[in-house]
Amino acid sequence: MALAFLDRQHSIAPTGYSRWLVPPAALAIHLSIGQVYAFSVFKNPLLALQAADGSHWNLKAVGYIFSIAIAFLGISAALFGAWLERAGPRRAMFYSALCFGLGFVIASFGVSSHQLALIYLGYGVIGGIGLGLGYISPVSTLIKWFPDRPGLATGLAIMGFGGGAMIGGPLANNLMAYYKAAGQPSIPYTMITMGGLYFVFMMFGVFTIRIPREGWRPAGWTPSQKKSALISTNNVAVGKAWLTPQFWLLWIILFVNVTAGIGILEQAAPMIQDLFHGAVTPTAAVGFVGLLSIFNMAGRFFWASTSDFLGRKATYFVFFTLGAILYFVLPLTRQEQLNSIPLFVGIAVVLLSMYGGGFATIPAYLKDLFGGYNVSAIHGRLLTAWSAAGIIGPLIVNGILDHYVETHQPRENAYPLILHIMCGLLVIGFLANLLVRPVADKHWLPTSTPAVPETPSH
Amino acid sequence: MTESAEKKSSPILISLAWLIVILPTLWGLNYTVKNALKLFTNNTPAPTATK
Repeated sequence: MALAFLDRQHSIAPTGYSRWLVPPAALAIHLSIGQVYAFSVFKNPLLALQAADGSHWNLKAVGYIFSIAIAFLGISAALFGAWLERAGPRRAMFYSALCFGLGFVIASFGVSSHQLALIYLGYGVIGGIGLGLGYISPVSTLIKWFPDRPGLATGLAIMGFGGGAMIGGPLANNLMAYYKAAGQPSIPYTMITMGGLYFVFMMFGVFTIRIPREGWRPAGWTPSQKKSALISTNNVAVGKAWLTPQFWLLWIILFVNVTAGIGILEQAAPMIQDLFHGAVTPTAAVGFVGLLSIFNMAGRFFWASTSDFLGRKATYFVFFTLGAILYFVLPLTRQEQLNSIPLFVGIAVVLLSMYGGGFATIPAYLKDLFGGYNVSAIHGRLLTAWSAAGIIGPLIVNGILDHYVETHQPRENAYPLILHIMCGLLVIGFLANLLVRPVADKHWLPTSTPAVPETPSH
Repeated sequence: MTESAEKKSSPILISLAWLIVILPTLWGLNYTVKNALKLFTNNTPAPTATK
């Protein structure tokens, strides 16, 4: 069969293969697909484009490109998760690279011919499928290589997704400036170049990834004898897992965590300027967004690896108690009250670190509750919470802001309400986390189940 | 062949693999930090009394 090297059996690690080669492979994928968070750098150049008849695209229509990509991330992660468990991470990573790279190329044709539908199809649908496949592909592999530190391992990879924007943003800006200076069509050429570069970079991950041999364990490591009721030694198949209350409680936890984070992320630059009139320049506001992205990335590693010691439930309790307090206090730092930019920035970066931490800790929480057998597939289905939050979060934020503008009230007065709603959402997350209990033994797989899922687990 | 006699991944190879992902991350981080520092330069909060 063509492309047989992508098969699961061809990616089994030889004896002596270091597990420390696996996180760079996962990072190559996540640092690439994390570019989606920097898609906004294309917004203004796309809005400035003119069709042959002189027409322009509007902000709403261009904004749909990102929304479609995120929606297809969730959809493809949910649909292909069970397939990924059988096909192995290498094949999934390869298709992810292909879809993500091809998405850029198709979108570039859409830009050249001024057809927005082609950009939706390319970057949104095909690229979005690449995002979903790439996001979940290394998760279960990392958990198998690092049974002693699952939070650290998945945190490392998912940190890459947060860091992808830091590479994708300046890369796109520099390429567009280069092609513009060379008198070439800057956006299409930039997109084709980025598609090619990301494909090559992701192929490094494809060729480097290995799965451990059956029964492999880290040298000198034995599973902890200290039993925790929330760390299961049994496995649950994806078809059963998503019908358990635990799955839906974790869905709510991820949903509220992401929605609350979007409350800041969605409006970060205008928010700081509105709350501190005249004291924050537009350039400084962009700097604030950059600072948030650094803490979003760092939080993914810090909180996920900390959860290996604190425990997943305790880590989410920190997010939902500290987070709720900070969301409540944040509007009090504004100009009319405490008037403290450092305090506002300090609180916002801690909140964003917990937003990232919530993303990165969830695979290890799933592994604790459902075992490692189908963890990528279960994670894939859980990511629909992200897609839902990606729709609901902006609806709350923009809906309230629009209402204030339409009723001729100052925009800055809308932020306390928005942030206090986010505080309330975190209280719901706290309750959901409180209700998490071990999965009932009726859902467990028999202990004789093969290590690799053989049939669709739906 | 026993497991201990098998060829182990070279530390150089492991370092190279990490460099491949760390270098672009550091480039992006440097760019972002430079932008972020602008937040703390030439930004004196306007006194509330003037409002």
